[in-house]
Amino acid sequence: MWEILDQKELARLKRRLLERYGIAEVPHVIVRSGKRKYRAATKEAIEIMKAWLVGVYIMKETPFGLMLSIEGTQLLGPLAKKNVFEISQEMIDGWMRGEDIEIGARNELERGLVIIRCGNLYLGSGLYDGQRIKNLLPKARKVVG
Amino acid sequence: MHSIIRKGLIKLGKIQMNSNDLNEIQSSSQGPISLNHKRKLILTKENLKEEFKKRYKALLGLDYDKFIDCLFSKPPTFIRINPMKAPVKWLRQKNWEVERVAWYKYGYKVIKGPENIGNTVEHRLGLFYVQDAASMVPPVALDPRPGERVLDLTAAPGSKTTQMAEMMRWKGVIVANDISMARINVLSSNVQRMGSINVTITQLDGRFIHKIFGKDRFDKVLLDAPCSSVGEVRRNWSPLIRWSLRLVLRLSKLQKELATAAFIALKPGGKMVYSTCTFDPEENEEVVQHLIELGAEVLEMKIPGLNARSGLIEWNGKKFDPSISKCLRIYPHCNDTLGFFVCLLEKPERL
Repeated sequence: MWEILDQKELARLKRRLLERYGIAEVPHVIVRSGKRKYRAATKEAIEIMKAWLVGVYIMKETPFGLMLSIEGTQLLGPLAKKNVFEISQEMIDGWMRGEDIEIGARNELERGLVIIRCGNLYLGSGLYDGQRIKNLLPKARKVVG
Repeated sequence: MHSIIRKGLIKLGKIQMNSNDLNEIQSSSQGPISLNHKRKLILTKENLKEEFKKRYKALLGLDYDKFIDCLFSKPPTFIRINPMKAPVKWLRQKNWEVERVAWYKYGYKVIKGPENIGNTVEHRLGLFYVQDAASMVPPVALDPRPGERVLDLTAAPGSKTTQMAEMMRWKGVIVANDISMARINVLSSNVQRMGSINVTITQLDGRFIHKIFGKDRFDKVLLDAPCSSVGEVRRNWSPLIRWSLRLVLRLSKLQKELATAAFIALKPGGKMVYSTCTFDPEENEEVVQHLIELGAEVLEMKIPGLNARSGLIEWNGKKFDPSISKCLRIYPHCNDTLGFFVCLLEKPERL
């Protein structure tokens, strides 16, 4: 099930997105689903009564902060100004198989959750610990073999 | 041929099983084989149900053999590109051989591509959906526009829902309904993967949808009704095993109930597509006739490049409204796809 966020909660969520990823504006309606997950939908979609689920899951609360899902990075990633890591075309297959990325110390990245992209293709989130980016793709979305 | 290789090829559907294979399986298996399983293993063009053969010969006439040959052949793979996630150019960069589907600009036939197309980076990221080209026709006929309020009454697994969401540029809303929770789980994971933010999922009995949402609520309605699925046989043989006239008549009753609810929920001046993936007239023309009796008007469809037969205006001595000839019967052998029946209707303003 899901619920509409009140103005205070929404403002807090937007502030956190701005602080972590530099996302200044969220162009979709955001609703909470369960305790820790958030979904993006259209204004018209949340007006439907008896809705079991609306829109798509875009992010969730984790001990490390707000983690964007694959769709979350695809919807909000283009608006992000920081903590976005660009990978090469050759690295996409490994990332999608669930491999971590060794990158060493990087000034442009803060430790914690980062968005992964290759050009215009957004590929979900990873956790940067100062040396490598741990792969956080869900099992169902990884390429097998 | 070595028996292990032969068994493997049978399992993969590359060769047909004969009675020796069946005896061997029966003698080596731990328990008895179910009747359905046995039927599936020994199903051939010749041993189809007599009732089915008689009926489909009457429906198809001289094309019957072509139709049956096609049912027993492997269908090509088609994909639908998600233009909302990435421009189509990624497809050109891949080393796949593809051919565009004539009636949907984001539909492609994969002539040469990866063996398991579902286990590719692009599929996992929702850049495309594996969907038969004939199944792309109902949304094309309905033509949902950005900002509209659309009802997809029996939405799972979500191929047409997500196609319509993309045609609407993720604006407005699609109420994607299904009665079964197991099917809704598949629907929601497809909606998620394709990123369709304008979809709202409901779990309601479609026959009573108008009682929940009210009369005249939707700009457009798609009813891709549950059916006997003969058009799906190229992909899955079980409809051919399950098929019976009794089943067809039972489904026809359900389809009329769903169609009535869908039609009531449609706004006056709104459009509705009724489609099935089967060819029995009781599940198609008879349901459209029922909608005409409720006041619906059948509209002409312009689907470029699609080879289809017209809807029947007479079956088994029963006469239908002549406008039903505007419906499309998309037989598998006509376009080398799966099979579909599609009808576009309008609810007149006066209703």
